[in-house]
Amino acid sequence: MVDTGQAAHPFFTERGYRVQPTTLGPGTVDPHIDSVGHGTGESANIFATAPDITLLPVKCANASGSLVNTTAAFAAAAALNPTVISCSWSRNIQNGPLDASANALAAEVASAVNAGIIVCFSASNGGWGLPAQMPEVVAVGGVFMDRDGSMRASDYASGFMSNVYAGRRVPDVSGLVGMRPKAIYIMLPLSEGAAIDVGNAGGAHPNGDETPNNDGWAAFSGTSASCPQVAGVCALIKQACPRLTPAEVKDILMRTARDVTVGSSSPLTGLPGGSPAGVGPDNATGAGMVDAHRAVLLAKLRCTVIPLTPLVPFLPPALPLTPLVPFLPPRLPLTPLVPFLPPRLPLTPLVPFLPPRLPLTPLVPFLPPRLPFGPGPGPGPGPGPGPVSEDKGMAMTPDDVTALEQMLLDSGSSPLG
Amino acid sequence: MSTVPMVVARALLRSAEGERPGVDVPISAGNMARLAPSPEAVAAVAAHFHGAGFAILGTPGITIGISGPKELFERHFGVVLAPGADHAYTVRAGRRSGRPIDPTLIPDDRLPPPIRQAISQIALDASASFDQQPGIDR
Repeated sequence: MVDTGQAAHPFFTERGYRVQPTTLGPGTVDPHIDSVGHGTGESANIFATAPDITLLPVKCANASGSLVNTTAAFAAAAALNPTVISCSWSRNIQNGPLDASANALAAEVASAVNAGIIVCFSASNGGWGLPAQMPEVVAVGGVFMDRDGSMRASDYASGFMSNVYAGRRVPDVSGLVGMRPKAIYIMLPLSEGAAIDVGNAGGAHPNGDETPNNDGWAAFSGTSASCPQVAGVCALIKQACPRLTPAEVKDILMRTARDVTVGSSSPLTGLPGGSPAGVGPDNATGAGMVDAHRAVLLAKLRCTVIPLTPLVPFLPPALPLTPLVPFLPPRLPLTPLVPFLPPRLPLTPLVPFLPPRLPLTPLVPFLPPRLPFGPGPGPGPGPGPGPVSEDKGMAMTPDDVTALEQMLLDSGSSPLG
Repeated sequence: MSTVPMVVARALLRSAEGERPGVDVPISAGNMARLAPSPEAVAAVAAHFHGAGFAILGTPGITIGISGPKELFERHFGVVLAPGADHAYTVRAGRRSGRPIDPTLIPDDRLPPPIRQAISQIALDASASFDQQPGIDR
């Protein structure tokens, strides 16, 4: 996570969360201090969705709390070769072409994704966030969930069609974000007296978080919070199926997200009404609210290993070979080097089709689900191994995996539903 | 604690075929193989800046991070750097009259030709905004 640093807090130690020492980006000092509280607080969002991750904080805030040298800090994070990089900051770039600094940042981000690192960026809160606009990035927006579980687009989070990258919608998916005026929504740990602890203190909700200014807790959110939530889900997906590429992880996030159909995203310069949510993917929340449970289930299905017997096995050709161009012997009675042999009918195909030999024993045994999935898959074509005992269950075929994926995607149910 | 203002910049290298990332070819993960600079160019550019007194940040690749005192940047590139918002430096526009101004772009016309030909752009590291506070036109 590239942010303002990571301060020690009982919230992390009491839960046994794994936090590595902070890496200092250029222009930063004091690895144990987070004077803003942003990095410390937002990191709790990662642990909320993925408590078993190991956090590698990279600090990009200077002594006065400003974010500096973010490209260099991002590059330092990528050099640690993490599974996921989460960045809750952005530059506000409404139109192209990109300036030289943005080009350098884009090159570092693209290089990281090309190396297999999943890169999550916040869409921004009222800005045209970049690098979130980059197509290879997981751009994260905001959904507000009310006390009754109903969801709507957060009017605090950005949502738009990029003017820099044609056809690029921001965000891809969304996490939890509060509403205007301040998105005071999620109680998060930080250093006692940190800037956010002071800034959001007191008052009455929604203008203040109703906590003291030095208690080490503050309520805040924004896409700064939703980004690490989704980054945590990315980690869960990779845990379920490590071979997935960043693009495949994003695909799973979007396919399994829960559609959010009401509300509008934050007003932007040039987009004063924000973007309205509607049925299906939209510019307000992207594919909708991320659903960790369904995303992980789909990732597990994607990673189900089925040793397939090749449908068209290679068999050595039966000699003698029938020449395609018949050899015509010269008139002289020379002994041919390759004697001509007439073909033996019927011709044996060089590559015959053989049905696969069952059983297709999955490395990870599949136990047929009980209702409501219906009867389990059939034994497949060709001779089988005989009756399958109930303890082992039936073998799962690629068609079964596809069917289960579709059933999962078609189902609107989840533990939250 | 040092009080000398330190500046951080990145040289974005041309591809091995001489293409300029973000100018001739879109920068994307899918284009990284095409945009990869030659190892010789990476080594030459890194050696140049190291020899000039800059610190090399991280492992050089498609970009090479450099840092050094503000005065070193101004002397080496022949520019005047001005502190901007949030402690980020910008290039003063004095040398760029008549062209669209990119305050993050460091002119490379004083670099040795072989080095200049290997580089697409040299950019100051710009500041960024937290995505925590609301606002328009931030």
